[in-house]
Amino acid sequence: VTEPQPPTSEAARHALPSGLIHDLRTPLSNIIGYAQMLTEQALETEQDGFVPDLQIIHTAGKQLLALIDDNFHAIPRAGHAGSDRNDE
Amino acid sequence: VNAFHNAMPKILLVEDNEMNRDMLSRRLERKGYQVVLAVDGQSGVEMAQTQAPDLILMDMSLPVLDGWEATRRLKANAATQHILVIGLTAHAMSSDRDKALEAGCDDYDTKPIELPRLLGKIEALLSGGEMASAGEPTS
Repeated sequence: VTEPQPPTSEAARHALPSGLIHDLRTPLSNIIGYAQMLTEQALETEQDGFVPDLQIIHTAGKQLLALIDDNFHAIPRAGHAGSDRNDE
Repeated sequence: VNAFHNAMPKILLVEDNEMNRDMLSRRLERKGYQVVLAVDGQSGVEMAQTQAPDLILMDMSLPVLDGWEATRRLKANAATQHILVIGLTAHAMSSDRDKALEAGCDDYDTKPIELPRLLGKIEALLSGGEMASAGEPTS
């Protein structure tokens, strides 16, 4: 099977079960999302003083997410045409 | 009726992760949307009929009935096939996008959510942007 090369080639990344990648990404999404939400609220309520610290949390979360995405890829599970994690 | 001109368009958010659900629903409500929630694909399909939302944000990795199958059922049912669906997946892989669009999603976005980007897609669909991004990744 030939596919276009992703930004980091599949071979250079470590294979992890897709469920584990999902379980790493989900709490990170929460950290990133809540930091963004609080930033929005701080700006709307003129509490701009919180914004630099909130952006540090947000940036750190994005860095960790990029590390996961750049260094790991999901082990595909054969035989599940519709979804690969219907059982999680 | 153009849903975008309603005072408060109703969005059905189908998401199994409690914190993602809480965070996204609060942010959408602050932007003026009415938000109703479902926690799995099966209840999402049922609430699409009882709540008649203008748009559905459908996480694809869902328990009971996954987002792909839930979207297929919504788009196969005459009562719900007009409801706009934005599929949300955790990965930015093109195969995920293709699977979401094949299942019948009108558009697609990835998690973690970037709210301005998602709001842009929601507003484009609600204002009648039929062409949306059926063929192209929009980010």
